[in-house]
Amino acid sequence: MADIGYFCLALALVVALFTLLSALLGARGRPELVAAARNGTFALLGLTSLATAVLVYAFLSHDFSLEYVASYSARDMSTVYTLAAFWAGNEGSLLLWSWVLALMAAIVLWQKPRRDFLPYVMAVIAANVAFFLLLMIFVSNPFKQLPFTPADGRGLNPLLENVGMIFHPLTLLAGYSGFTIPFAFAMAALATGQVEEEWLRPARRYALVAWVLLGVGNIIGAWWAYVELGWGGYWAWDAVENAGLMPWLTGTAFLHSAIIQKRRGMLKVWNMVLIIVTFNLCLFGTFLTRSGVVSSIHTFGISSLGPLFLGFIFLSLLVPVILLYWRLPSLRSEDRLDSLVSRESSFLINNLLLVAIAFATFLGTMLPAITEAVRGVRVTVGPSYFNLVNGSLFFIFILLMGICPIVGWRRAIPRNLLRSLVIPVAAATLVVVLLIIWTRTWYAIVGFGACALVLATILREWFRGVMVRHRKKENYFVAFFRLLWGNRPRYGGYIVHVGIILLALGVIGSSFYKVQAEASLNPGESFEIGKYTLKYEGITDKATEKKDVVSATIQVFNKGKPAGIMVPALTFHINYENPVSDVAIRTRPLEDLYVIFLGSDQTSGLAAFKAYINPLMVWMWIGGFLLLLGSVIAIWPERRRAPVPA
Amino acid sequence: MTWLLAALISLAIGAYVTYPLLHPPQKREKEEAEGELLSQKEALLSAIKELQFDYELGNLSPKEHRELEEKYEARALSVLRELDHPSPSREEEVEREIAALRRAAKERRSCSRCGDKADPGDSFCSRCGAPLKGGKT
Repeated sequence: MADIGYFCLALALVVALFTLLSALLGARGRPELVAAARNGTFALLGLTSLATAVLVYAFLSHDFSLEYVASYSARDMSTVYTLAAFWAGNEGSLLLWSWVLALMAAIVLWQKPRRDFLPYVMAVIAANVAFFLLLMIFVSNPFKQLPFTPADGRGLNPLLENVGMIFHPLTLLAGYSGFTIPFAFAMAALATGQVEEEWLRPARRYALVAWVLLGVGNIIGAWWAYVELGWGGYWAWDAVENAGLMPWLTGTAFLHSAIIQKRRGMLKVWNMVLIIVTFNLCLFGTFLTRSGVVSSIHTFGISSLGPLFLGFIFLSLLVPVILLYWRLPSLRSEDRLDSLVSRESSFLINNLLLVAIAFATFLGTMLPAITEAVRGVRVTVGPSYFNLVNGSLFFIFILLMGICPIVGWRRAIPRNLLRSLVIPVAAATLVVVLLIIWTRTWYAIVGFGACALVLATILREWFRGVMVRHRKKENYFVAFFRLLWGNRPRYGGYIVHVGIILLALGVIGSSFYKVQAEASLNPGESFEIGKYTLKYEGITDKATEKKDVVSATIQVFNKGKPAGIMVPALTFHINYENPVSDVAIRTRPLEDLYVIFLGSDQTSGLAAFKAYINPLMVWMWIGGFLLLLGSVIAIWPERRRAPVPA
Repeated sequence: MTWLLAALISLAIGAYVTYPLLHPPQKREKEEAEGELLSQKEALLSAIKELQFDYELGNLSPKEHRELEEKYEARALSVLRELDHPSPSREEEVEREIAALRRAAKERRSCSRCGDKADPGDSFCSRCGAPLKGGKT
């Protein structure tokens, strides 16, 4: 069976190369070649699906003769995690990438893109799929067979046995590969010379799909780190985390600057540059994860894929840059910036900020590799660098997020702008004043103020929209929903903005007001953290064949009143050296109480604990959900009206 | 068994992918072009709708609104016009020209005196000067 999987990959490579050639030749007015490339693209989906099905079957049937299956799964794993083990390593991730890309390509064809773009879009996708197939066939074969068949597999790293494992790699990989589609449209536009807004419509739509997948992937990753890794945090500016953040930032910039091009015919070169950079950052992210160039907590996937990725990135930069240079004369702006106080310039400034954050992140991530290459010494920057640089830039970014939607196009009318700012500024001032009474953490106060400004702006925009409809004799309720549904991209976008602000609230709260306590206790003793008293009751030990779970029971008192039981635990897996911490989290709207069981002395019962109060954490996850919801609303396709008969 | 399966897959994929080369697809340029125009029309109409909404919200000055609306409307109009009277495709145009030339060749008259071929529209024979039948005199 495994041979069939490998054969499918080899045949898919032939088909991908045929599709690439046939699409490029067909672009010169040979419709039969374009049609063959079209069938080739669908065949790629068929073949990668078949290979995927073979690997899934190998996992489910515990075919340990395959090295990949034996490395990441075991007989005692539940079906869900056995399936999720598919993308636990390089080989499966590459197969997943190709399959997702082939699937998206089929969707693109099904949506019938412009005829002149079609061959080039197919060529770019086929080239990408071919690259990933080459990697699987020659370097990282998921169907590689062992010389003998072990009785059982090694199983998944226990840290990976979390619901996050199901969604985090899946969404992130889909996001990474998804950015190939808008890139393909950009290349098609450059190749055909049709660089007006025709390419932007499909490109922005698919970019939004990839963007939300990447964003949700990052947030699920943060949530996973928070609940599973047991260090009280969710983001450590780890190289691989940064790798997922950078294309998301430049992708965000593209989604916004595309609006300017659509409406004003400006920023044409900038949009091209953004989508080229975003696509390459996606490749770079995979390169970082798989190459081991910089150290990361995601070290499970290091392999020899690095140089190949670097070579592919080089090509993916060189070809678009040449095309871009060639088309520069037709990429001139149709209009110019009329005023610094306008919707266009505020979008542009926000774009620059996003790119600056991405660049600062890139610099901080790559500094060890750069300094090693130049001076022979690895210099690293810690989270404080990222927090300071990116934190400040994010603050300005959020502030502008509040102002952008109320600045008029072309040239803002000062009187209107000031009038629009009254309520948001009043809301922000009120929040700042209330906070000053309670706290003197100035960074946080200013941050919360900026969040209040943005939220008030969005609510005001929403309110004004409802009022406009209400004046047309719609009741408020109907007006609200018709407003949302009738302007999905815009109001879906506002929901995403609310999500981002909630995320920011979580980040500010948990960064500036985190409380931490540590204690070693005998049963019956307690320790205090903030308003909570944590009383250690005792330990229970539950051993099974494969693992030993030691749980500590803690009674929680909130200002002296009983507030429930928390049971943090430590799991000792027979196959793994280090114990895995199962943290206990008590979530409330204003804060999380987060308790980690560090270890215990079995004979005396003495146990060590670490506890955190992480304010506003839950809003981060709610923000993530809103990001998803708003994006789905914004992406939701328009129903095409049937043409009216003449 | 594996080899058989592999051969079957190769055959099926090979046939599927190369089919359009052996049986070139029917040209459906007209339908495809119409589909593209329709989606352009949709996009322009929703852009105009959004513009109107922005104006009602006060995000656009009347002048700005008028200018942008005119720009979009002009484009929408040309799309609508194209939808109603599609401009002929290049091939159709070439075919039409060939047909016209053929027709002209067929209609070419000859001089009743010397038998020389005359160009369409000529009134006298360019060789002997005799008046041509059906020509303007």
